[in-house]
Amino acid sequence: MAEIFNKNIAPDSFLNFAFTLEKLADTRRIDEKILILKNYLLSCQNDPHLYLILRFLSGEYVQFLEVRKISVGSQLLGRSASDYLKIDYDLVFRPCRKAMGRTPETIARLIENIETVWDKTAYKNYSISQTWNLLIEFSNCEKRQEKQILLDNVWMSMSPVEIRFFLQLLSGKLSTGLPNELLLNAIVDTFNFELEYLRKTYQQTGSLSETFILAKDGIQPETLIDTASNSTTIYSVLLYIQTESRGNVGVYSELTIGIRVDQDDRFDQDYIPIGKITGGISDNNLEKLNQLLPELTLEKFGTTLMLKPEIVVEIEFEKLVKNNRTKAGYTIKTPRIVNFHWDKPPLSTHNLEYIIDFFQKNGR
Amino acid sequence: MIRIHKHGHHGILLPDFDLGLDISGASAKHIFISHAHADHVPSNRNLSVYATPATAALMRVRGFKGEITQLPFHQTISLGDSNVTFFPAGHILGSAMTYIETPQGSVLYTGDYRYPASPASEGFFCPEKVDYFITEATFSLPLYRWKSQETLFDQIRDFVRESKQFNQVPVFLTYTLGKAQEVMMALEPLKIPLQVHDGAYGLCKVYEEFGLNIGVYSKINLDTVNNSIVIIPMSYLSSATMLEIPNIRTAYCSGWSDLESRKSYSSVDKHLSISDHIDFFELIDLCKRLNPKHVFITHTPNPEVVSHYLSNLGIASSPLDSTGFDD
Repeated sequence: MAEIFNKNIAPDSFLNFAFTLEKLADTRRIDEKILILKNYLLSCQNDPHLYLILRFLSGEYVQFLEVRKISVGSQLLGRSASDYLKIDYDLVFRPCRKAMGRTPETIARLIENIETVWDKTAYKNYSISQTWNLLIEFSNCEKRQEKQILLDNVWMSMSPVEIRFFLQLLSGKLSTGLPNELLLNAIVDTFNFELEYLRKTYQQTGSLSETFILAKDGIQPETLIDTASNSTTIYSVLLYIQTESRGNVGVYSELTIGIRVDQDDRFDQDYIPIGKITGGISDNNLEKLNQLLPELTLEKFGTTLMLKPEIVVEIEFEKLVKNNRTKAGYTIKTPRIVNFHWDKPPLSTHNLEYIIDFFQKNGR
Repeated sequence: MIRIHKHGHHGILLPDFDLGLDISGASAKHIFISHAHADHVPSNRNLSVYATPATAALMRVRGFKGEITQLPFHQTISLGDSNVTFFPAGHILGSAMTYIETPQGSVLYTGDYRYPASPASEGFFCPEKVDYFITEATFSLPLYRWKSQETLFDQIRDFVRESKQFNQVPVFLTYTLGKAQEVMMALEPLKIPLQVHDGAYGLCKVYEEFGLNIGVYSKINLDTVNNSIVIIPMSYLSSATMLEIPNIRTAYCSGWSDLESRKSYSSVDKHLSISDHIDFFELIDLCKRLNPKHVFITHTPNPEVVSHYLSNLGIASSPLDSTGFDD
């Protein structure tokens, strides 16, 4: 079947993207992954196409769907595919899923293997934007039957490799093994942007595709937020560190930062969380942090590490807002890293009262 | 119906004829060994058994001390009530299917088998008609459909090119008996020296004795490893010797390697889905062709799936509840 496709793959087809994703999934080394992605990004011919790709890769596409959530459960997928393949869901599909470990891969493999459906297929060779429209259709339908009809169309009109990654998109995330921090590196490699500049922009926008658009237009990150008049810097302490929830690569990029409350009787701990920062750690700091992690780690929860409160981070932020769901009762808004202070003792961090006082005095 | 029992962890016993197939203890008078993989050779190394000449040679290399009566392919031995013949099973060198003719009907025990046959074996032959078919079904899900031999051999050679391109030493992670030699056959045309694990070296010699061309090979030698291709079992990857080689690129060769559940936790660079076993679709096809009175399914994690497909074809079947996950 693959031979039919290898001849003429349009650069903007979903098939081309799916082949790239397949290559990414089959490659372990990060530098080779970035190279594959670079070659693909270079082949993208126009900007709208590129934006869509970046949204897919970063998982940001979910925010652009009208209903915000596509709810197609793996049970519905499995049953629908089983009906199409005329196999027994309980006796055949479930053991297959159990062995394979994931629904999209199971369905794609079965459709590839079971010959009785080979002549039912009529490949439509969707473009990236048509695929996006399909996702929107899925997000708009509420009834099970409507989804069923859409799925039947997917089974018939897509090749197995397209099905695999379309189902991953439906489930809300692509498994590229490249967290957004590394996607940034790939973008830098491809379009010759400056890494630090992109990191800053990404930190402030929180969106990879936004970052790319801004970088392309040459907009400086400083202009995004009026830093001179509004922002405040404080010393905080690093409490938790976590890999990005997407992808399985061990790059720690999400920091939970805390402030000192050791004089405050309301709290048992000396430090409590006040906010979370994604990305923006420079390579030097990240290296140093990685060296220290083994001795600093207190406990591990999945990909999250609980650290001894010892590393002091200078952070900058705009606002302090009331938030009853946090221990402190407050959260900081748009925080970003100014610097790591490796030699400062954690007792030099600011305490909660200081921050609340500061904002009340300044009337914010 | 003829009595067929599971015996021990992986053996099969036909008590009415005092025949044991791949069994470990001395619970049968006549014991037939299908092939030289550890899970089919008796753990008691002093038994008297029947095996093909190649299997006998491989068993000796692996330290079997008992008496082995050599029974070449297609030659029938008469044991009173029953006649036994070995047919090539296409799994590894010397692997045999055991065909037993009895007054109660004919029995075919496949051992481990592969169709189309592995190039590193004597081919595959199956009788036209069988009454009782005892089949292994290691890959017993429609997830498994192997690619053609040419495609797989191309993938093996492509991996070497890819490694050279990145200036890395290609390392194939395979089982030492069977798949290692198959990979070596695929690599032979490249004319690059091969280095194999000590455990595989003696086995490779047997392959050559039986006329298979597996290229130029030696034991692992760190001085020349940079210009070679390395073939070792997975367990050897973290050995001190391997850690000495700075720049390696690994390919894991196994029928299981294509499963996402295994991929996501492994640290190898490439997964090559090469198996020594028959795939699901060939298995069902073969059962259909033989149309036996009863199929006994063994060495499988999912006998119900095979049974389900066979009952759709109107073929009676049941698991011989021996579980095996070897590859």
